[in-house]
Amino acid sequence: MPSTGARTMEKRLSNDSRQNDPSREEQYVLEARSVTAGYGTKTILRDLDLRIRPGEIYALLGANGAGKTTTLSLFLGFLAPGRGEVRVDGCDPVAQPGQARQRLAYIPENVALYEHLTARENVAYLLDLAGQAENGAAIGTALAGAGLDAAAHDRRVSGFSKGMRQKVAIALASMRKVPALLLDEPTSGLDPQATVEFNRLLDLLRAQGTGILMVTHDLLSAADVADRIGFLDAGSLREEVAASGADRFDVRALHRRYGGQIA
Amino acid sequence: MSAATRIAREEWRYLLRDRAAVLSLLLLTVLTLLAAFNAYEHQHNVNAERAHYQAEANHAFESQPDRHPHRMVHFGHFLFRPLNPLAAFDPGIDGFTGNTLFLEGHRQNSANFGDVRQHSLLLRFGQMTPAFVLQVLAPLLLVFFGHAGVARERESGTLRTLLAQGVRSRELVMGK
Repeated sequence: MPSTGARTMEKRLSNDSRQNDPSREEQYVLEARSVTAGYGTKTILRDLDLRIRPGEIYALLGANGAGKTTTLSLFLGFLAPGRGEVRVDGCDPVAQPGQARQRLAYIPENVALYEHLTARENVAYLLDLAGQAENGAAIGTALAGAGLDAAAHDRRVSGFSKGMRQKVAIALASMRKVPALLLDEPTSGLDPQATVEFNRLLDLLRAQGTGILMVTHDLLSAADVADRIGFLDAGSLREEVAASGADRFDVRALHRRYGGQIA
Repeated sequence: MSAATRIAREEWRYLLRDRAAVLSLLLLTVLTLLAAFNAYEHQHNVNAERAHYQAEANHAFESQPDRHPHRMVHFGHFLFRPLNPLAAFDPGIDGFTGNTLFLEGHRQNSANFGDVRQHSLLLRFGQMTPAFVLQVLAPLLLVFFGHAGVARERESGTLRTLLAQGVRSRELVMGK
């Protein structure tokens, strides 16, 4: 069970005070303010507060059913909050779904691509739908930048592994140059080498200024790449820890507290 | 290019790469050609048959001995309506209204010998004409492909990917 002691509260207060300090006037690319949401009569998220800055990787961890994927659905506009506000780079994803989705990219746990198309054609098609026509050479550069072998660029994706599909999705996300990226269990099913490679790609996107929200079970991978980690429990953010500064997180301590819940 | 047009183009490319779709289109084309040939033969035979009986009726009428015109009117005369050239494409209501008229004095007879008298109401679905293929089978195929196009996006998980690019549900359905 997670500690609810003074140490946890101190960290939360420390983070909250930094985020809520009016003198900083920070812009958030992804923001959920006191959000309560659910499906039908079932409430999944309770009073959730989440803020992600440009160029920040935020890992949201939690057990199955804690509300991680529901949080992503909120930002995608697939689910309307019952209470509270959700913003994607200042846009309301329910009232302005088109504008909000133009400002974010989404990579699901199992990247769904068009099996009858090649990697290059998939990226071109999805870019086109996002209102951004690019030539094949630029797409090839992005695919190569995402680590996909040149030989695979013009192969149909039906034979691609999960890692290769993720590289296509990363190439798409990097070309869209959106301020926010949502990742759903990005490293589940990836071998350690592919996970390291994936984290390298996230670093590149972070360097471009993209704010990234990843929901995951993988504490070690999250600790490796994230700037901040939030622990979701029964729809509420139980604790938030940062990767640097005085409140830098201790993976071993986190694993001791949450390992049983999130693994 | 609008999202709906782009989706339609992509769907077309999918159908061209999909063997089942190409095969269906090929079968539909062959069926249309066969139906056109069958309808032409049918019309040719029907017209020949009606012309034959019309000649017989004319002969019987003209072979009558000299009579008073009023009696000739009571004797009556058969008319066999020839098929319109367009009936090869779609026979219309010919099978239901009948094709033979008996003209006689003082009475206004309706047409007789509609094909429907000898068949059930399913007659309309039994005529292999280009109209049947294009009006019934082709739209059925379009409905199947349109429905399969949307269902495929949902089942393969690409629906969320599409929506996440800012595509609206209405544009997706229109494109399909």
